[in-house]
Amino acid sequence: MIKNITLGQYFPGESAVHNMDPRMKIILALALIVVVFLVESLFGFILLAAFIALVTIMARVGAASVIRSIRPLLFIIVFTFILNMFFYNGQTVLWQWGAARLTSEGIYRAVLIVLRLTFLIFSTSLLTLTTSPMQLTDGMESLMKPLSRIRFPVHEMAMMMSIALRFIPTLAEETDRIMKAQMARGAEFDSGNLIKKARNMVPLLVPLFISAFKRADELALAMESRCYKGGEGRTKMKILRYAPRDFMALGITGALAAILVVVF
Amino acid sequence: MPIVVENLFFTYMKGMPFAHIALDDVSFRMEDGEFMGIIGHTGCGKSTLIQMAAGLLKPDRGRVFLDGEDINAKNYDRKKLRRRVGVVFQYPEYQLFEETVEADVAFGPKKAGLSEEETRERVSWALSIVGMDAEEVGKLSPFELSGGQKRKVAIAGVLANKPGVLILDEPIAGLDPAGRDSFMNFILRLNEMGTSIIMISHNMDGLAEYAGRILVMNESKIVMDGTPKAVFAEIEKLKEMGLGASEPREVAHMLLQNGIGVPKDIIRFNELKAFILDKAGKS
Amino acid sequence: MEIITAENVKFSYTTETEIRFALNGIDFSAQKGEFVCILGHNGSGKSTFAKHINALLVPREGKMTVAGMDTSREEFLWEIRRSAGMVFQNPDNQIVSSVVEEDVAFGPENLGVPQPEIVERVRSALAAMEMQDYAKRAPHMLSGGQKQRVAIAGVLAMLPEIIVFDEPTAMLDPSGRAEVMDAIRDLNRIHKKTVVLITHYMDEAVDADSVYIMKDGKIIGRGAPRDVFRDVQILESSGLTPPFAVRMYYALKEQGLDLGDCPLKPEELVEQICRLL
Repeated sequence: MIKNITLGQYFPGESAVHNMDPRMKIILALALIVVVFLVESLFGFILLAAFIALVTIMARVGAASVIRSIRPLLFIIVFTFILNMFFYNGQTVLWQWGAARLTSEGIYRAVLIVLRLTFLIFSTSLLTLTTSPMQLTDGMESLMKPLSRIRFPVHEMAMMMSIALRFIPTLAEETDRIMKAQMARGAEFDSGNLIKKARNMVPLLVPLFISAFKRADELALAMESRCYKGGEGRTKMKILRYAPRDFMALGITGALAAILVVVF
Repeated sequence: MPIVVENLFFTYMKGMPFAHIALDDVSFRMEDGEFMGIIGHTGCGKSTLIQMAAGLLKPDRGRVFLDGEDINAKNYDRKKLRRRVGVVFQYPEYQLFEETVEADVAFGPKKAGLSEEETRERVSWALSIVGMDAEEVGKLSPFELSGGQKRKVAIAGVLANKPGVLILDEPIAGLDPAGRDSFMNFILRLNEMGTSIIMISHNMDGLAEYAGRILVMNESKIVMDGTPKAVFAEIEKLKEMGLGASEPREVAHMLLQNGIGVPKDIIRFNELKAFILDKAGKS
Repeated sequence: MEIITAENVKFSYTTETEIRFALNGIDFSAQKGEFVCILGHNGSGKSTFAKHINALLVPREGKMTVAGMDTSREEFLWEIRRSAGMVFQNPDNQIVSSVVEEDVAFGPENLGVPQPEIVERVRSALAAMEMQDYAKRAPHMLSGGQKQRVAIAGVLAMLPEIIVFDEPTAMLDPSGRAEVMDAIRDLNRIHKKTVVLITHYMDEAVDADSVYIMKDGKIIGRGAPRDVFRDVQILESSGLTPPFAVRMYYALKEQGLDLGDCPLKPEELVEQICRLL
């Protein structure tokens, strides 16, 4: 049953955003991130927020999933906020306590940074919520194809990613099986200090690694049996094609980006 | 009474779209020294059930008792459970991890807190029970052994704790016919020596020969509980659930459908042979 | 017309301590369109031989010819592997992609087949295996039998003449085993593929056109199933258990009850018993 996990944040759906070409989504997400770091004024951020909210609604993934994506990085954001607020070298000091100086510039900077980090995370989340890991891999492989001319192993990396994605649920299941088998012999995986915990992982990690290597061997034989000989001369069944909706999205996002950067 | 399982309920991935009910009000009581088989289609809950019985999974509702104690109660000593109940999963050779055979077999006893001396004895004993010599193989790396030998070492590792109850999940998977027969014989010997056995298996012929009791599971419930003869007599019901009976019983059923009055309790090879010879006047 | 021939094939795995002959002089042949079964205990060399058919391994001595090509010649390697597809024992470890139809496309993609044709081949291969409804699914959610059918579809999409099955049912439950055996029979009878089935389950051999028994790297028996199964001693000495019908036939014969011809399947046994009684 462990194998039923949906990988990462992907929230399956059929919205216009889900059906966009993954390459366009990657490009636009990156563009959005750049814009986030160029915008200076508060009004600019309000416009950005409106845009992100609009995309969230169109994607039908629910505001909760987007907002929740902050959680893993909440600590860093709060930490950065406090650091900037109290240790920025500002002029207008409002309060002082030892090395910490609360300045109005500091407050402004802190708020800016938090907004930027937050929107960065939201933009990335929108990408991963609406694009399956497999689509992301295909999109990145296609975008990076020009790099293969300078001998960058684009095909190999995409193949590695795709095989990794394929085996994650299978390995998760196996981990569960091995854990249960060792627990049945008395192994404990949740007790003791850090060092003890690391030692306790050996009965889990050794079999898992050995099995993973065996899988790799068998998979390689199967791939060779199906005439795999690297990326040379391979065709692809799935062809990514831009659709009108992709260009519309590009246009709208482009216009917004231009406005935000120039005006705000 | 070693294991008593009372009204177990369990759902995987509760509250999510993929939620799956694995156990739906499952209960059974096991007697000392029993050889109990569990059969059922893939996904019927049998693996989940044995994990509960072995204390590897906590039920959503219901209780599991080992020797009269609730194993999921707050102050229950888990070590007792681990010493008393051993579990052999499918392809147990995949759990080997130590540098030497004896270290791997010693894992259980060490975790149970036995002394060096006692551990060494147990390792020797466990290896000899599975037909291996501790002197010969003790210092070898488990990964140098053949598949069949690895499996024996893994089983020795489970037996080293001298469990009173041995639970096996499809233990003959991947074995060739000779391997299968010798394994079933081995389990029978363990049972005769006093170990209670719970075995999930698709090997109906083996269960017909050796098991004293069979639980049939279907869609998260126990739907039949009786002797192999009683269970295999209901061959039509078994077929509806996508299961079969032992081969002798299947052939007996076909003969019955062709007008030959074979009794419903013929489930073993020799029983069928005797019946045919008798009917033909040659016994 | 012979499509696979092995002439005195020998093969050894060498370790630092020993040279072990996994194949010690194998003579074998399969006709086009035949269903051949190779039976043997674990360690008999049958999987090693299977890997010689699609040139994953090459003989140390002797010659292996597949679809007219000598497997030791490098220039034929990929054509040999296209003509002789192979399905392995572990359903998981031969599926490359996280979407069923993409995995089936893997073979044709490697062959450089034009995109529209790949789509058609994938559709047709999945349909042949009755897995078309699962095209967009993730393989890890499938049962063992379904995974094997996807693997077979992946091989079919390469349009092979021969399909080698290396213990394809060893890791499956009874219903998965039945699914795969049905598929294998269809592949031979309906799709006219030459099938080589490697197994240690004798009841899977009853439908074969010819059977080979392997033991310790040698072939110790060959012929039609009915003839080969007659020698119960040879079978048992190679760690194999004859099918139920055969065992019952000989057990009854031993006690003086002769059913006539030896039945291979339970249905045949029943028929013969009914006739007698």
